[in-house]
Amino acid sequence: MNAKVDEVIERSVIANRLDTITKEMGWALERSSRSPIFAEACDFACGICNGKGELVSQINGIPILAAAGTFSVQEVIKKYHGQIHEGDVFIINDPYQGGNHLPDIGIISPLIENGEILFYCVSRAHHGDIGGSVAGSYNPKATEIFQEGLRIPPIKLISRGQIIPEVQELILRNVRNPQMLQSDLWSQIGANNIGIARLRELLNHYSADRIKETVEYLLNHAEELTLQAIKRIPDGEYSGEEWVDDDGFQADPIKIKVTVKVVEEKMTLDFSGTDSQVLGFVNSASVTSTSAAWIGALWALGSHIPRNSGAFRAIHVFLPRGSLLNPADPAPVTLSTLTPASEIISAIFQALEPVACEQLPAGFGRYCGPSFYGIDPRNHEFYVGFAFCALGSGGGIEGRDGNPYMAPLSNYGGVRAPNIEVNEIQYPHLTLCHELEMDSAGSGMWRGGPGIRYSLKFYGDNTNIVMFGDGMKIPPFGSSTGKPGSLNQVELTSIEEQTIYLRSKEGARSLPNGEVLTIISSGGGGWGDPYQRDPELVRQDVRDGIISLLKARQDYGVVLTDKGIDQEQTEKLRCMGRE
Amino acid sequence: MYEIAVDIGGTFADFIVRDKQGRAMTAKIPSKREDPKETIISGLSDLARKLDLQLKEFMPQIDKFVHGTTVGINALLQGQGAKTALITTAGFRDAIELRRSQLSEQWNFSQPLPPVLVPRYLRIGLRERMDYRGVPLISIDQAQIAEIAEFLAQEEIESVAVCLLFACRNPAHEKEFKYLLQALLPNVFISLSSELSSQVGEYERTSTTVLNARLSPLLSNYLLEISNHLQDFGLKVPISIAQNNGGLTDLFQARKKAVSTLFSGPAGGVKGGWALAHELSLSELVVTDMGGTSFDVSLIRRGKMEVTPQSEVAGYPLQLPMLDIHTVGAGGGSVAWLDHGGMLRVGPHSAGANPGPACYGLGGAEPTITDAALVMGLIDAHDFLGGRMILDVEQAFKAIETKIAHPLGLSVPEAAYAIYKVALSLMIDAVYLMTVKKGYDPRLFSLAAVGGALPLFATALAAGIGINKVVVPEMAPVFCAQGLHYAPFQVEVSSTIFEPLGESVNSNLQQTLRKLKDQADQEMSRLGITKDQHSYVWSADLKYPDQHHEISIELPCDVSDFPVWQQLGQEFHAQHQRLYGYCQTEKSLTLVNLKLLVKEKEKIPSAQTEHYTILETPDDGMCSLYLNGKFQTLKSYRRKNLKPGMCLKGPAVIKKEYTTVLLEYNCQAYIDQLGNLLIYLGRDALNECQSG
Repeated sequence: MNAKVDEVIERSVIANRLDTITKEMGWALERSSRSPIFAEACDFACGICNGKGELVSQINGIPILAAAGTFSVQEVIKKYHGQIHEGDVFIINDPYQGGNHLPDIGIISPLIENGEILFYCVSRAHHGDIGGSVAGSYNPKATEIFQEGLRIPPIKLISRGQIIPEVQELILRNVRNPQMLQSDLWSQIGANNIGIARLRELLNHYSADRIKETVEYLLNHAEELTLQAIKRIPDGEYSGEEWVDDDGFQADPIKIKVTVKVVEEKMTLDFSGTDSQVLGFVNSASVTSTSAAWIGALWALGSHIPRNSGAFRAIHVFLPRGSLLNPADPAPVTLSTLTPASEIISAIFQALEPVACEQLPAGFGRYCGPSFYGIDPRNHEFYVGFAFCALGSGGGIEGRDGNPYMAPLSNYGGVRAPNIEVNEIQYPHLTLCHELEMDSAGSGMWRGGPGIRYSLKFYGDNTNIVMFGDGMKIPPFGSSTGKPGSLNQVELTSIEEQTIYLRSKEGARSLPNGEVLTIISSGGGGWGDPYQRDPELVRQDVRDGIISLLKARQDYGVVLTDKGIDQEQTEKLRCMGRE
Repeated sequence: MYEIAVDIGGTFADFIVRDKQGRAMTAKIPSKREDPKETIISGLSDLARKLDLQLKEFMPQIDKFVHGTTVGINALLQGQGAKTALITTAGFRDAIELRRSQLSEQWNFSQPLPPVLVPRYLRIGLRERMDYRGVPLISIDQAQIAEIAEFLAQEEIESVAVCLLFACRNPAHEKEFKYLLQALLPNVFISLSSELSSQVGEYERTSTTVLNARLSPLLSNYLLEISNHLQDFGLKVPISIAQNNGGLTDLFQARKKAVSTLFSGPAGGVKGGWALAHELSLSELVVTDMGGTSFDVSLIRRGKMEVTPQSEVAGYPLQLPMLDIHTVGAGGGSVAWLDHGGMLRVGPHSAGANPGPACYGLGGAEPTITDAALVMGLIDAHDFLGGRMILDVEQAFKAIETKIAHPLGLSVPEAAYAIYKVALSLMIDAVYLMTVKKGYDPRLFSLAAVGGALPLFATALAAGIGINKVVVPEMAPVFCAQGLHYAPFQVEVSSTIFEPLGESVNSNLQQTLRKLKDQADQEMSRLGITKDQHSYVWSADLKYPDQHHEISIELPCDVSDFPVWQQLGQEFHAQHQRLYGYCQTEKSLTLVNLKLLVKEKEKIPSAQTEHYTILETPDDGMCSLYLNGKFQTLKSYRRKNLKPGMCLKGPAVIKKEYTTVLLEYNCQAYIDQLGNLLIYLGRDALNECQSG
């Protein structure tokens, strides 16, 4: 038999099997975990790395977590080279050493065959609380990472199959919800165990050499696909800018600048010109910044490219030291996986939009909403939760309106927002409203997705909220003459109907009984000239309460009467508008 | 007297009739989509002919008529359905459009989402509210219902879906709304979420209710028409309808619950696997089926079918217990292609039936799994579908050469073989995922290979998984209809508890258990099943208190039994370990739901008795196949020339009317008394074959 045939077959077969194994890991993690953030919202990722720590296969999950696994495994290898044994399990969360932000804990389990480390199974998941000065660990007042929670460098949690109780104890002593954290660590370890067991079965069918060869091929293959896509982009320098509202201490917006340099099949994302690091927690350490840059570029290059280390190594990223995107330890960074990760991607989209291989959307809403915590008056237990139901919406794209409730970009399609019913069972509050907000979508030939109005009233008077997020000053951008989307808005209304507006970053505030918290999330940006939008679609939007009659006339130049579209007036208005 | 089962699918309609002695006749005819009545009558005429009866003599002698249909799912896929409105709690009408922020394809922004089935202006917020315990906070406003009725009438709404927050905890508001609205709009169909599911989670419940409201009127008309038509031809009994869970219901229920019959055909297939498992005394069986576009896997474990609490249809969540079927895009028409980096892939895209595989000669230029099998010699070009279609080898060759072989630098047979092996690996992974994910060892199962081209893959598939016994059922061409024949009437009821799991059953629980039993018994007697024919299966959904997903634990007998109740916890920890790689025995548990499934006592097919006379097996010449790097000459047998008791050794091929079975080197096969082909793999094959 022609050896080539074997190779062709085994490559595809082993690739499929690796994907099946990561799928199974993800399934186990989701079904067995406790923290609502990962059981309900699926804020986790898991994958398989080769012996060098290169990511080979992973589940489709939160995009921004897609690349983080490889960094944490590489830090483990760097530190423990020669001291990694079968049955060891490592734990890590330090953003300055392989992590992305403190609440995301990475659990890493090696697979050793004949003395050689063939694989690492890695699962990363967002835990409800990792200590620090604020419950939920999003601390807008932090000026150092030490105020954001417990830092865990790469260390062993389990040694040759035996848990190291002191390590576990130290970690659990430093968090507000030790029981939940412990269970969730076990659910990560369990998922890795499943991955390891399945990989062992794969080793029963194929030799280690064959598998290693195939893994190498899969990485080269993804790299090759990436290089091919880059080659389709004309040589040149493309720059884009995006801004972060502020850092919570000073009011000025913070600039992210990217220059995408393309020469033949070489692509460099150079972030020179980005503002310096700031006092507040919107800094992004290099792991998160690099991950965001990679996934942003890959979105522009093609959906067919496997998201693995092979693809990543074809894209070079330069992050100036001391900048917002590569700050010096101990700058605080907790918000980074939402903002500025999404804004890094947004800057790349704006730079590459005219030349990208794939169509790119207009601006997406940013995350903005509170974490809430206190003692649940129903069972007198401590709780901490997040406003996952406050998600904003996606930008329009040529051929299709933006998807509502799919923002921010860093989480696109990977987060699963909880049901209102589940939230009300979990947390002591009543939801008053969760609906699309009229006139929040950025106008365009293809409009943005409308934002969400989300209103809550907490039971009892023991609720505290901490505001974190962005997008109250800088809206989702409009693309190709489309209009920008709406800003995030958060308000508190007292029983006396006094309303105050909250800033996107605010320290702990306790809510008096009966106060109503309302979040109106961003509608996405529009794509293309609103005057080009089919008047029938405008009529439907008005009928559906997505846009008002006034907006139909002002932004879209469409005149509607009881009988439907007034063609004559519409044409007239659109003509005048064009002049 | 006769029992009939009819499964009408998209391309074929399958019929099976059994007489009192259990003797079966089958018919398979092309399905006329535009006239299903005509399809049914012509199939029945066919059966009557085989029984030497006139149709009008045959019909009154039928004492059970079971029907499986794809009318609902086809309507959904084609965007048909009633004009539907949705009523939700005021302030929450957009759940079906927000989709919990999840996407199936996150790396491609242009990917369209499945259309929202009710436009926003037809989604109406009702001023009412229940809290998380099901305690009413705001009661229904009758004046608003009058307004809603007026609007719905003006919009000529045919069907209304109602999903209110926490109706799963307390359905009072939904019921009151239905009562009031129905009085105002007597001809509108109203579907309540609480009638379909008692699970927490408004998005999935709304989606289920909307599907039901949209499809029920259409299915209802269809069933009524069929039923009347059959009665006109002399049918004396009411028709029974197959459901997603493998059980039957009557016309009355089926017309109100279209969502529970969406997968009645595939459910018949699983039931067919169940019947086969019992006939052959196989308690663990993987049932695999291959159609034109997909490869389906389901399991029979400990002699039972497996149920999943929720699933998805065409991108819409469906919150209903149904038989667990895992589908991957590896059917006969699945396309083989090279990605940009030159890696060989198969599916999920399918060439369908038109243009279909290149070898159909209908203009298809993409190489498919069928084309690969043809080039390898696994399919006989002149004997496809019993000779009804002549395949074009040249076209298959050309398609593989240009799209795969040439770019990869392989010969055409090598490329075909590679396609075959990659497709095979997708199937192996699918079986693997279905078994190991549930903590089962796939090697302990036998494999049933049912549809179309699957028997070509069956022995290799079994070998790849580590299974050593394969069955190619004689009834394969009408497998789903055959399964429906065994389906019992069944009713499922459940109650949400949400309490810590105690040491024993307290009086509250006792009451709940009694209520569930009464409710189910009542419904069963409405279906005409007497109490002595009821069999009860209790199960409990449990989780660790802070967990979000439950594990369903089935109980061996009555839950009020003390020792059984005690077992619940132990069983939970054990399953948790198996499924998720760890357990925490020191933790307490929450009892989420109690469920009761009442079934009509099942006719379990009697295990066949074997006769082991090994008969001399004459071959029908030789054929040439490309396997493991070269063309080889293999013995070829025609199934119709093989008699029960005959035994043959691989390598060989066995040609059946609709398919070909490939016996690899280490395989032994023999024909059992029912005509099933049993294949044993491995070293012990010969012994197994001789000793059964």
